[in-house]
Amino acid sequence: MPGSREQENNVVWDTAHLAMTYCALLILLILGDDLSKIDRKGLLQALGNLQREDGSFGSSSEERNDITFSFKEGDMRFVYCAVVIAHILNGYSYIDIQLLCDFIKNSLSYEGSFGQGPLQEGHGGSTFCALASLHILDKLDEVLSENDKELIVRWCLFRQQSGFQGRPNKEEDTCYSFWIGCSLKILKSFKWIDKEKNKVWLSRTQRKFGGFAKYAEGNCREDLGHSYFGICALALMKESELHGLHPALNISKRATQRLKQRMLTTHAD
Amino acid sequence: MHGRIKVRTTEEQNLQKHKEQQKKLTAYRMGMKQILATRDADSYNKDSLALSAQLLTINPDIYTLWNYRKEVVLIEIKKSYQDEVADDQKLIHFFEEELRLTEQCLLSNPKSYGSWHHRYWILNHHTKPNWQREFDLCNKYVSLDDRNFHCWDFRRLIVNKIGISLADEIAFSTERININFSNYSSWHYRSTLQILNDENSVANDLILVQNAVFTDPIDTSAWFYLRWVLSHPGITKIQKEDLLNALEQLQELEPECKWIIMAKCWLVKQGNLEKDAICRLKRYYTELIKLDPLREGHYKDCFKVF
Repeated sequence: MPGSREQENNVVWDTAHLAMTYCALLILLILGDDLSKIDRKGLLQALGNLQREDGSFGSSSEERNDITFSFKEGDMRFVYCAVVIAHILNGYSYIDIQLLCDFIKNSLSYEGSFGQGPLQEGHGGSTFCALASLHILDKLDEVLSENDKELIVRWCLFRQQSGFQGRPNKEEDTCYSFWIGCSLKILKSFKWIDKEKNKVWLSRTQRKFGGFAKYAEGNCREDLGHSYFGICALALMKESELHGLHPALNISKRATQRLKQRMLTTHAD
Repeated sequence: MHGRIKVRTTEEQNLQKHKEQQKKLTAYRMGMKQILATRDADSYNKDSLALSAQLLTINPDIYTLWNYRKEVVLIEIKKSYQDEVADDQKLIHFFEEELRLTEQCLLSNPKSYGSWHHRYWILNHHTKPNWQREFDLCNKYVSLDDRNFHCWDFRRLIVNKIGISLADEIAFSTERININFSNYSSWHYRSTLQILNDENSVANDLILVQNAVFTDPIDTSAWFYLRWVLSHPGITKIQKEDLLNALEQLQELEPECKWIIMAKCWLVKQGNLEKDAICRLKRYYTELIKLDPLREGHYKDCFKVF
């Protein structure tokens, strides 16, 4: 995030955004970069500033003309981005992990799924973000009771119709084979899904030029996002020659290895 | 050839589409360039502001432009404090224009995070916000799509602003559920109202959700809520036994409904696990595997514990 390096001639750039930062770091890892050119301290300091009082993270903040406003858009998506960023850069000391875990726990709904925040309706995407965050922090067993995990597993398993839906009574969508699939992997319950039915669904959303669409209907076009999730969903099932997928970090096992090697040489502070 | 209607081939159509997309892309790029070039600390360019409204109407997810508009609003607020004449009409008009823009964007895309967030941000800076109108807007959007969680979340944010009581919200929740038992988001909203705080309310909610599952046992919405109500320590043994008997009768009418059997599992598991209970559970899980083969592995895993 260029926050600390902002000068007159770059002030017209987009405000740095947590999700973009998350993507940028992952892309660098995937491409084999060693991250040595990242302003690690600057980025982690900026990250710490984005944590809200309730433990969640906002997407960005801005100071202009002595008027400070930090955007309230704090939710589970950015909690996840923050955890991954802190993990990659070995910077857990820059964020309040206990507060973050409290936010996640408070976002568990009555039916065993996580909403974007406390009181909010449970959703496949935010469920992934919550579980992946806890897994990366190695706090799954500390924050979730056995009963919680049982409820969450059941909720996730019941999202499968053939493919997966993101919430009860909604349509199946390719990307939930990823969000829910990874959630189940994290809770060691992916083995209970019906893999054949999942594959059938994914074959129906794959288009003739190779990309994946959101829905199976013919008029639904393929797009990059769903193509990515479709391939990841197949990787989860160890299909063909795809690299394995790290279900919490959202990168291949190959890229995860690179990260591990890099972390061995970086010291936390 | 003369007299023949020109029918575009697929290739021509694709080319046409590509040309249109390129036009849109050029307009977007030029628009963004102009807007960002005219950003200034103390003033703003009215043409850029208008341009940002045009771009957001087409794509309300360009959060950079919502942020730009927030900067402009802050400039206007600052100017208004500095003006000697205390007349906030101009400022109010400005806020109302922002609200109108978000409403326009929400009409075409009711799920844009940026639009909902900007609206709430404007209301929090508005010198005379009309919270009642916001409340009515919320109700309108909930009727259009009762699964739109942005709308439910917005409602949750503003109920405190207009002094809606918990009792009012419980009544609203009951009303929505009675309109449509299959309203998942309504059940969720109800679960957040801290409703199960005494034996009376537990008993009332048990009746409400029982009605729902018996009216439409195929729909999943109410079953999860039932499970949650049953997990409350205030549920009595008699209530559980009565429910179990009622479920047995319902199963005769709906033998293919897996939810009924699952509810029986929940009830039996909660009681003492005598030998009889384990036999029953074995029977239930065997039936569930037949009715719901998609989750065979899960049911076998559930039963392994016994």
